[in-house]
Amino acid sequence: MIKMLRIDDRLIHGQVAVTWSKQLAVNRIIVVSDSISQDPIQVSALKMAAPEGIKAFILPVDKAAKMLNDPRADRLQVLLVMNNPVEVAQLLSELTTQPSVLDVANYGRVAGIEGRHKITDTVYLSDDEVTIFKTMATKGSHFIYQPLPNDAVKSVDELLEG
Amino acid sequence: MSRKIYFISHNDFAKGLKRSVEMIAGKQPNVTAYGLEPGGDPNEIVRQIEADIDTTDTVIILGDLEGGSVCNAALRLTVRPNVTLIAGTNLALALQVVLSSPEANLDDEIEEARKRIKKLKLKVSAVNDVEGLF
Repeated sequence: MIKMLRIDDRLIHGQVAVTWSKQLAVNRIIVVSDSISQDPIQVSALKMAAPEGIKAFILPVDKAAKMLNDPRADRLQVLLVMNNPVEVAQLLSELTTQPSVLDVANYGRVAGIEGRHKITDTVYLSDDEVTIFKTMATKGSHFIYQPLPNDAVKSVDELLEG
Repeated sequence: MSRKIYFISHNDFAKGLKRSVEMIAGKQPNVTAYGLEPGGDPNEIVRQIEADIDTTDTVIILGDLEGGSVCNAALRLTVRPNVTLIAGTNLALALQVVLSSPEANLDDEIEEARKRIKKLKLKVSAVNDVEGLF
């Protein structure tokens, strides 16, 4: 099962590797990105960033969907990490079983906040990205904002209204 | 009766360490950081810790440097059975201790953190590899 899909520009880093992976008791971290999955240096570095006892995989959207829709994936405890809302919407539409939690934690500052709206201290979205989140919500994919397990859970739907 | 963790150091290391820990692991209300300022008195830090703890607390003090004045001053607290002082703190050790369960053996936590001190070199992996996924 997919315990969480997290949107995070920094992908596998301390908050994910140290904190969430323990909290969620996952045994797989899958980074889903068409571009990163084809870059051997980034793939290698991400694999090394996985904590001990957790295997990391870096896959393009289509392949990730195929793997996650395999019945054998039901037995796995998976944390998905992504950094592109367009690909997130694409993956969610291809998954037969949706992630238990959809969390947007760190987004928009790496690519640059110019032209993006501040949604929270760590999430900045362009007009197009706001539309993507609203469209996902109409299809039942409601995101929360919770960078760390002991942070209060906020509804992204409500943040986008405000 | 509670678990209390103190970071103590020369200057701002302890305070910065607490902020770094909290960036990764979230707010840590049971962690307090004290830094010795130039010209300051390390015993003042120890007095503040003494005033904050009682015999029912489990106290873990992470100090920056064995033999440095802050750890030297804190040494006298280690005659108390409920106080553990660890020197040579880094971020890996601080996280290891902060995130450990109250029953954890601190020697094991130190060993885990010690393993994180190493040379890193990229091991180049194949792309699109799903070997071992299931």
